Amino acid sequence: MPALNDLDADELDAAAALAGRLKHDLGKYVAFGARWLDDAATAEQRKSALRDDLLQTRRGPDGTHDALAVWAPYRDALCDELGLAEEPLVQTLVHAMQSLASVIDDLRRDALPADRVDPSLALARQVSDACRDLHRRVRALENDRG
Amino acid sequence: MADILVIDDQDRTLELCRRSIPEHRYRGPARSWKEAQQILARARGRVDLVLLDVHFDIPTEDLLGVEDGASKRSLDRTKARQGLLILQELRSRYPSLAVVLMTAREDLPDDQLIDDAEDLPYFLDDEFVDARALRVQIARIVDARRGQESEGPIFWGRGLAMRRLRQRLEVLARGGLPVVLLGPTGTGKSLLARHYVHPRSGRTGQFVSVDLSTVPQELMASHLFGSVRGAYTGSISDRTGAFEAAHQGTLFLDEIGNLSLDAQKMLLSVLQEGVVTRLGDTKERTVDVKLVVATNEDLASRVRQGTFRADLYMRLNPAAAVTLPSLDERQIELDRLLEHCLAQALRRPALRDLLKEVRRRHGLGDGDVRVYAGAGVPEAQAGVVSLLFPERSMRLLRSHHWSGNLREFAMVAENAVLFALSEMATVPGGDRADVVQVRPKIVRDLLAHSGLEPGSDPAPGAGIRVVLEPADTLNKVAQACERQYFEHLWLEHRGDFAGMAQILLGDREHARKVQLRFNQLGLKVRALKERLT
Repeated sequence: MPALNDLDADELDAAAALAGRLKHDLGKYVAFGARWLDDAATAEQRKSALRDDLLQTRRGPDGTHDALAVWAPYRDALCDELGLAEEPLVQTLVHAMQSLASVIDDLRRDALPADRVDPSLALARQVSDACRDLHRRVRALENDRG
Repeated sequence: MADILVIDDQDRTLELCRRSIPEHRYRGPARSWKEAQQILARARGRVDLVLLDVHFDIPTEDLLGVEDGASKRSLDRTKARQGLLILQELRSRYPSLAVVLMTAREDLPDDQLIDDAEDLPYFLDDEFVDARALRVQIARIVDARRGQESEGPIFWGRGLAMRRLRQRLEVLARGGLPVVLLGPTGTGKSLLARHYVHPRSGRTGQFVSVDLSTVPQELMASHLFGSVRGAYTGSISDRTGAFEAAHQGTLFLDEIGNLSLDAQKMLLSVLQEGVVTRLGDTKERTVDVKLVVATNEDLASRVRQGTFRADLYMRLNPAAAVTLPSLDERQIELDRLLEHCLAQALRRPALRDLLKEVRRRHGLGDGDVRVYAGAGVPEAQAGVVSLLFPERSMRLLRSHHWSGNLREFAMVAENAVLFALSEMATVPGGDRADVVQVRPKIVRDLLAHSGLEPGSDPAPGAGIRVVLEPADTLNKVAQACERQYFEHLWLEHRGDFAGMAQILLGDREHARKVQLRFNQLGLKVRALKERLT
């Protein structure tokens, strides 16, 4: 399975564009509310931020999309089209999003236990950071190759 | 408090701003350049700052910079840098608007649009925006910009008219010719003469001010040109006139139209010869004075009527006269002006001591005072006392006809805070003892007795003042007028269409008709609800 280093110029260019969009669409919004919490946020405020971040990750004129719906096309593009399923950062994302799937399900049913809120917020941050790191990695590769 | 436009294809930025940084007023979100333009046009210069996303996932027809037959890849690239294209438009059409690009500089592609920008936008320090960073960034920008809006007691604001006035005065101040300041009463003519023209004249002498409306006609000549003992009945000592006192400085003659014809003749002589002769004296004294005169009269008409000398009028340099706008013409800056006036007022002992009393009573400690006009309740900050004018109070201020202009406004503002602080000084602390609300009732009571014209405040629904811009057709002008009236009524009646129907059609039963018209005018209940307190 190829890694990022193995991509040719066109593929790397496509990967850079994809990573940029992923960072914006998922990375930014999957932990958007969480980043806006202040230190004194109550448990209810943290849960509300988590709910917004995971269930209404993107909300605009084209409707509301949860984190899984936002992630799905990127997963397909990264893993299937570009064949980067073994790339460590992509693997981090895949696993983190798989874990978040159950959180999303519980949030929809309003059944998320209180003691899972903070770990879920941390997991969402992990997804956000991974999206950013993936973008940085691809850009660094592009720069190295000139 | 800043007026902020959010340009973002997603809703969440605006929502989080309102929730986490409520001390500012927000507009939008504008999801495209087209929507942003519409909001900016309606805002008429009120917007201080734009929060601009970079990536816009919007329909192709709403994108800037799309070429015919563009490939998917090209479209994706356009979407990914749409914010930069919008930035280019903002720079071109609204060059003084501060823009925060919601990304880190390093995160942008090498883009000629950014490299070419003469005045770089502000960037966030991190790719992912958070409330704390954004609040600091906004405060930094707003503080820097506010510094340019006022100069000591003078409030210049950001309007084009005042900017031009300032530039013109800067030039006139340096020259040797007189300066004529025109404008209604209370617009700040004497302030400008003292705090702007005189300091820029480069003169080393004093600033001397004479309000000619307060000088008896029979004493005017003596007041201006001096007199010697015995020059007239009651003259028991030599007297230095205003011209001599202002030698090598600036002489400001307010209400120049009040000058008697005799005094006009003497003034003309002084301006022509550069010397004064005190009444009853023969000795000529050289005077070198920068003359600034002010009036709210039409001096040219007075010349035609024969009550003001034509030769003196021409000597006063009327071609270079500077006209100060009335406060009604500066409506959009009322929020800023409020902050400015209160900043001045809070330095004076009465309010300063009352504020100390409020702090002591509510255990607030020392710190800043901030003014919030029409915004939500600001977040508590250590030591900060917030003077909050809720939207209803601001609406009352905006709809008042300020016949006394800046002077009247400053007095109303100071009185409003005085009453609000007095209430706080006597009541027990509540949830937010750090927020001093200037309630609509306080403002309404003050406005009822303010102004120079009785009944200048319209009763609800009976009449309002509308602000119109030229449009292509009279129909559009009429619609704009109607829209503002409906908006005013809706806010006044807090969404009660039956109440509006009573005003408009004399019958509450016509509520449905009123609501239909409301919708036809393009008004949105949701948007107006946000303006209700």
